[in-house]
Amino acid sequence: MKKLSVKQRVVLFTAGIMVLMVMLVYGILRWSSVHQAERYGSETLRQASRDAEDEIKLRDGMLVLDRDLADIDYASIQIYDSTGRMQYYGPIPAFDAPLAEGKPRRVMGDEGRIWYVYDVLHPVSDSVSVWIRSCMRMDSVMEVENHVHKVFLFMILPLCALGIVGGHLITRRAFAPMTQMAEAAERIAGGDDLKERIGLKNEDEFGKLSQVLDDMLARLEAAFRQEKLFTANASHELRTPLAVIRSQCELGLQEDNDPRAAIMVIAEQEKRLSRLVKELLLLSRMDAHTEKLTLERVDLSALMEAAAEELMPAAQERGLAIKMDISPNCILMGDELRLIGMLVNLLENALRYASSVITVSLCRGADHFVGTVRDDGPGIPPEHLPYIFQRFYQADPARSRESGSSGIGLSLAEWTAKAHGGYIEAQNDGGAVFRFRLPAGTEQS
Amino acid sequence: MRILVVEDEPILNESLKKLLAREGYAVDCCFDGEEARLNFQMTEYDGAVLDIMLPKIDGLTLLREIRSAGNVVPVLLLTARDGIEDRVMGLDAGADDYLVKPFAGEELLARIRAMMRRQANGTPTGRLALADLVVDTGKRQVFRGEKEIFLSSREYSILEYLMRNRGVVLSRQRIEDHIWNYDYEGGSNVVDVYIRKLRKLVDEGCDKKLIHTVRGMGYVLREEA
Repeated sequence: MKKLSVKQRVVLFTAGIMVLMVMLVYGILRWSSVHQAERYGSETLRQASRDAEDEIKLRDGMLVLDRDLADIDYASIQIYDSTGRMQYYGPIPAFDAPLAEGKPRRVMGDEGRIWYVYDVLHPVSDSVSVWIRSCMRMDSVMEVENHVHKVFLFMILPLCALGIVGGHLITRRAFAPMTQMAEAAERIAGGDDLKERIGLKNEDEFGKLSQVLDDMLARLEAAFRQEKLFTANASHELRTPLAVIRSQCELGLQEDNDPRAAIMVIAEQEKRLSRLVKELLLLSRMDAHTEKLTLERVDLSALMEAAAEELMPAAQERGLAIKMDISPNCILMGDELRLIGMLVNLLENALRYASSVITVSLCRGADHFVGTVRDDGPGIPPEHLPYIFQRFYQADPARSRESGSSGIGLSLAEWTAKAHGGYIEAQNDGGAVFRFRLPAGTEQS
Repeated sequence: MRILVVEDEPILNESLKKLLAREGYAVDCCFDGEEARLNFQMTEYDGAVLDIMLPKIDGLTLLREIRSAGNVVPVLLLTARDGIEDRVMGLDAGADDYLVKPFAGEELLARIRAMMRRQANGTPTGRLALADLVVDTGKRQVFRGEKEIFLSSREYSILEYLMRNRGVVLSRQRIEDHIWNYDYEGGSNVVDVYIRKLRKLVDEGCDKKLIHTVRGMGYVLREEA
């Protein structure tokens, strides 16, 4: 059988429950009514029997049946002697049943009517006994029973229908948001536009689900936008040097031109292209998680000192000072090359934006080291702050481009920190502050 | 020191790469003769491990080609063939050494060291010396006078490269080319930082400075400034 949808299952379930409940109630009612009827019957018959006993006497060895027997009109009384010969009868019962002592019982009589019968062998004296039979028709009780049966039988179908319709309406209403979400999601998936959102404002689970999905869509949109930007950037960056190379080749091949000049330009462009290609390959290895660290014992303090000192002449040229506050002998297991790259990148950035001083510090924590590189420049504009570690993100394209920044430096720095099991973050605090944390006994993550 | 591995069998290629990288070499890999030829054209290698049986261009043909083009890079030939004629052919084609598969990793490393020793006109033991600076390429140890200097793997590689080319001014680019392989791209000043660290470890506290900067050109290891 084909699997039913959730809605169908709910509807079937509600209808089923209703039917079940109706049947349960019916069952209880029926059992109790039958029970009740029988009790009523038994009591009445027993009472009649007892009353009859009072009217049976023995006088001079002869049975005397008082006339008061006829007063028992709520049941039919028949008296038989011990041989079974009828001695007295009230209204003649229309059934045939042997005398048998026991509890009041049902007997089927003429025309299908049901009688309740109670037989007692009553000892009048030590030697004489009579049969007292009391009986009554159960018609009226049966009628009530039948009526109830009929009513319930009639009820089942409409109730079932009610259950199905009701269930259907309820589920449709309850699941409406879900249908809405499914439709919106289909539209978004089918189209090219990731700007659309599901936008359900309910306060319930569906509202929450919608919100979560919308957040996810927002992230996807941002990622795709970044991807498009990256592709556009990369292709521009690749095409420009290629165009230059081509035109220089043409120039150089012309008769009256000096090929050497053209070749020199081509050599320059080759370097640029080569660098770009390496960066792209590195990014793709980072994405595929095939880029690994080469670990060895590294003196982080010595690294930071060397990096800071190396950039001092460049700093001085711009009238900047580099201050160092480096805790010595901070040793960890790390990739020296990548760490140097990270430090140099942070310092070069600081150089670009500082106004008078750059501060480099390193201190040790319980099982980690925390380093910072801060400048006293204008800081990072808050609207760019969440994105600066993204690849190719340029907060200030004009300034970065001319100083040769490629756009993946910070992205690589973040990868390096993370690959060591640490992290890097940026804040504004009187200038830009880049803080990184590296675990002391690092394992490759 | 930069090495090219040319081996068409992927698993062996990968093992060779790992083996050599662990020893501190910068390793480039390729899988056929044509790719190898391009690599030889583009980069100056310090050594090469070349399989004879290669697709596109076989090892011996390639070797003859680069030798006649004037490339003197030390080449170790690898092969599964063990006949006398094959060895003779290989060595005559221009190989510096010949190793038959399967081989022990340690033997490969030792033969590569030996082959590069011969190339660098160093002493038979592979110890290179300048003034009181001694670089033992066999044991990868460095001494300045009596004191042993402990260097990180790349610091050592840079020093070894400077030492093998002592007296020659090496540009940043050349140093980069020999210390890390194609894949690395990390930015400019990194070599400078390494040189600075090396100076601190090798030259500091000594009267005679050995590592010098030549403005606009690069770095050189020599006694006089």
